[in-house]
Amino acid sequence: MKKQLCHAVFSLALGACTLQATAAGCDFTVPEGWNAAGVRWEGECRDGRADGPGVLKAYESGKVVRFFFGTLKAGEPAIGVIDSEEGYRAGRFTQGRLVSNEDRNTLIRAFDSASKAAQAVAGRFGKTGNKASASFYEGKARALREQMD
Amino acid sequence: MADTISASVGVGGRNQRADVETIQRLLGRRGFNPGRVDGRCGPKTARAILNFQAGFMSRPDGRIDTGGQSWRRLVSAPAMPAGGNASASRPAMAMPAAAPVPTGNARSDLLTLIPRPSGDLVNRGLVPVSPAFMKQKLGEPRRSYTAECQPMTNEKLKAQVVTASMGRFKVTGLRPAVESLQMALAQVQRELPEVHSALGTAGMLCCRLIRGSASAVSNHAWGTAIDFTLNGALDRRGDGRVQLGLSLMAPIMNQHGWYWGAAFRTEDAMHFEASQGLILRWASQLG
Repeated sequence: MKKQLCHAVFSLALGACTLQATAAGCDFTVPEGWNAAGVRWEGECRDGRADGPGVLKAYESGKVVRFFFGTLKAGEPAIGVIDSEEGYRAGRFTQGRLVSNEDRNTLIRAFDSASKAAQAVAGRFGKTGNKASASFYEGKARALREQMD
Repeated sequence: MADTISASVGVGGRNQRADVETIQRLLGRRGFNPGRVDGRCGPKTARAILNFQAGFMSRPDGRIDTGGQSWRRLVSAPAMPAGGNASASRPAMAMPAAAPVPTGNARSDLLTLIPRPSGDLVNRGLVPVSPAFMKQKLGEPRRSYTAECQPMTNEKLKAQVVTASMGRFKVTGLRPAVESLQMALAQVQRELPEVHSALGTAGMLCCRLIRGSASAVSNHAWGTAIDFTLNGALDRRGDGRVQLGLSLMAPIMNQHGWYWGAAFRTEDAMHFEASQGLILRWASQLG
């Protein structure tokens, strides 16, 4: 089941605002420019919305092409890092849009949030016995933690 | 007359004008698009070299050395017939999965990842600084640090902190470092306008501890180091690959005495910092 619940501010552009209901019934807003149809959330849900530290994964042709590591609040990305082939985009997010910010403290906090999110997901996979995924996300957590010197 | 080049061309190359023109002409004849034949190694030329190398190298490095494999291939490859294009004429040269893909978009080409250049190609004659060296030469920026950026409290250094425009963004740092950066980026703007127009920053002055350390102070604490972004993207630290745009501007930063973090033991390509030579000069100027 997929809901098309766009926020008004994004309804004119890219369809990036689409809220997607996962199989578990957990809604979230995807970052601007992402195709909501192929996005999965690894994290907690509260009142039917993704909430807390976790990872959004964007799939294309069965492969993950980009991640959002960070914190969602009531289904909305709040702070974190988009990790894609071309590098990292980090900061605070409003209605799915990365707020342009060159403040170093904001970037440091974004990577901190992203690292904690990756570590939390590693813990989730570890509990289910999925060692390969746990190890993958632990590696991501370490890389995100060490990005800003 | 046979084609020749006297020194390397491309990423980390010497890029002498006549050599770059030769490579641009040869690439054009082989159906690759290096842009205008102008003797300038910008993103289009670097991209064309990468795409040419993708036909026979698993990890294209964007550089053509005199007598090297890429040079031999370039001068021996058959020229394209008029109106031909490289991809249509080279069915046997399938691109490996990791090979660069032509985009025709200079701004996205800048984010293409290439292997970090070997140590002998970058930071020639420059020595990186250590926190101990910085404390000895410039003093301690603060008495105590946390994991967050905090204001400088050393009054002598603080009096030298300025905020200035770099065109597309502002930076805050130590006055001589900011002035040096302005000159370096002005040269980037003249010689690599596509790179300059994509540049942003992830910060310069930041008095804090290195993440995860209880005592090591970041080199940003003195306002003599800067992290760059390209089209808003930060180069991923420690993956051994660097954004093409950063590798193109690195030689200019080196000319102005800025050490490129791509050569650190753990590659940190978004990071440039004033080298020991600059710090020594500034320390004597600041008294």
